[in-house]
Amino acid sequence: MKAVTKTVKRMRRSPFQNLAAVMITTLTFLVISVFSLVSFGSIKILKYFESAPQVIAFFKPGEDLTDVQITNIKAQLEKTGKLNDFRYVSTREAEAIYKEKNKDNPLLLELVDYNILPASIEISGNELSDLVELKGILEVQEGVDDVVFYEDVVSSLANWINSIKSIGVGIISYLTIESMLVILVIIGLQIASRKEEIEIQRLLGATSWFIKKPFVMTGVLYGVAGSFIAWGISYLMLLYSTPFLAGWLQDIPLLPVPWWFMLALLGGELLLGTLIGALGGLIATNRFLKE
Amino acid sequence: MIVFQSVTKNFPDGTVAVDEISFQIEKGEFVFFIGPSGAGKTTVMRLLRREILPSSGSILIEDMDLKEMAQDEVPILRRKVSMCFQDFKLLSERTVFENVALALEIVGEKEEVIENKVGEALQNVGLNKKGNFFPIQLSGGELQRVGIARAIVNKPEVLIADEPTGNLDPKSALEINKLFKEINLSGTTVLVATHNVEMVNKFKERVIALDNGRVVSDEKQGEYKMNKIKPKRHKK
Repeated sequence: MKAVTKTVKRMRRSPFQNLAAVMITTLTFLVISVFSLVSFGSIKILKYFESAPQVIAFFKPGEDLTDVQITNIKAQLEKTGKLNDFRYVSTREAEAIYKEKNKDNPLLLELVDYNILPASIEISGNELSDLVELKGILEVQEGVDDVVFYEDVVSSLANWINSIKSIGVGIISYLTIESMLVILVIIGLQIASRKEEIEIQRLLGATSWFIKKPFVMTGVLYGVAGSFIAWGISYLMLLYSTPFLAGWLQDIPLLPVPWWFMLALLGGELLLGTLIGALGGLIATNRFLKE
Repeated sequence: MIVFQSVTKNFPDGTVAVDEISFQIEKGEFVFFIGPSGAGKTTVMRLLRREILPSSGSILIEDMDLKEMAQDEVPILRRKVSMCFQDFKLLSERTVFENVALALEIVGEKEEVIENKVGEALQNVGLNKKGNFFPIQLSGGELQRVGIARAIVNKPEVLIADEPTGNLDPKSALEINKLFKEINLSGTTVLVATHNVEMVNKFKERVIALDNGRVVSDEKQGEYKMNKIKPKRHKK
């Protein structure tokens, strides 16, 4: 604690250097926060789509299947070994779902009843690639009116998410290196401006670590301050935009972001901030404090 | 005990700063190193603190061989062999107290120990009322006293001073040398490099005279008479 107090006291002598270092690390960690939240959200969205029915076979409106027919279709699908989930939705159940979704619109409720709604079979496969075969089985069943197939939607979503992740990793790597270099240069300037003090410390018998420690601590404080400020800003941005995002995401259960995730993000960012700062400080001291 | 055994120091430009010098200093001795500018006094002082390494020969301080010593042992040596500088080497933005405390912070002393030891050291050099002053507020003699307080605060085995009175008036210089004698009487070995013959002769201590990098005389308790020595470097 004493070392931190002393470091802060010394840092006050060069406010603009501190500001530059903290601002650049804040920017880096803000990008890291945003990409982490986007990644977390996109994984949840992908899981939502993957767990949702991927193939839906609609039967003729108003006509329900008998138990024998349902068992027969299920048996055919199970025989492939590729079926993950199977659900039969009767016309009555379809009506109930419709009424629940449109309970705020009496006009729509009046117009529709189970007689005009189709029964359906909703299935999901173990893998996205299994869906083509399962879809083929459903298409040839008696009374099938239409088959809706989500494979393309899910796979293109997965591709998008992978691209976002790759771009994110690239940008984060670039900014992380940039932050470390800025910390390194700023600490190098501080070492140069305190050359006389360092020389006196050496003459008085200071160890190498005694001389290096305040500079490494300065780097760590830059990293910690930048990561904490960025986390705070990203959390505030998230809280502010939650009502808008919730409306946009509709049924996807993504918001609010769980507290444990934000806490883990803070912990991870503080750790990375400490690492970036310490590494920048160590490289600077090794580079500029050669005996 | 300090032992210089046939020590030579050559610099890359060919200058021979000290040439095959040998001497032995017992624990608790007070020794003046005298000689004109360029005689090799400062080189001896720097060799004693391993600021530079000898080109040949050996330097022993107690059980430490300075030539063989690992780099990470140098701080330990410099705590045992502390130094006062002609230009004081004080930090201008720190107070007198903080400048002296620095030597204790380096060895990792606790706050309360630092408080007591710095107070004691400042008392010993007569600056106990000026702990909160900044160097710019002190006279030359007082600045050197701060340097001495910083050098003795860790109770070193050897105190070396390179031209400590070079920037001072005769009265302050005399006071500083008296202070060195007091420190010596408390058991510390004191080595003072100077070119002030008058001052040396007042104290009747051992005098090692250097000229052109060689020991030209080693008087145990005598006066030193400066011959017409021309300060000149020789190259091998």
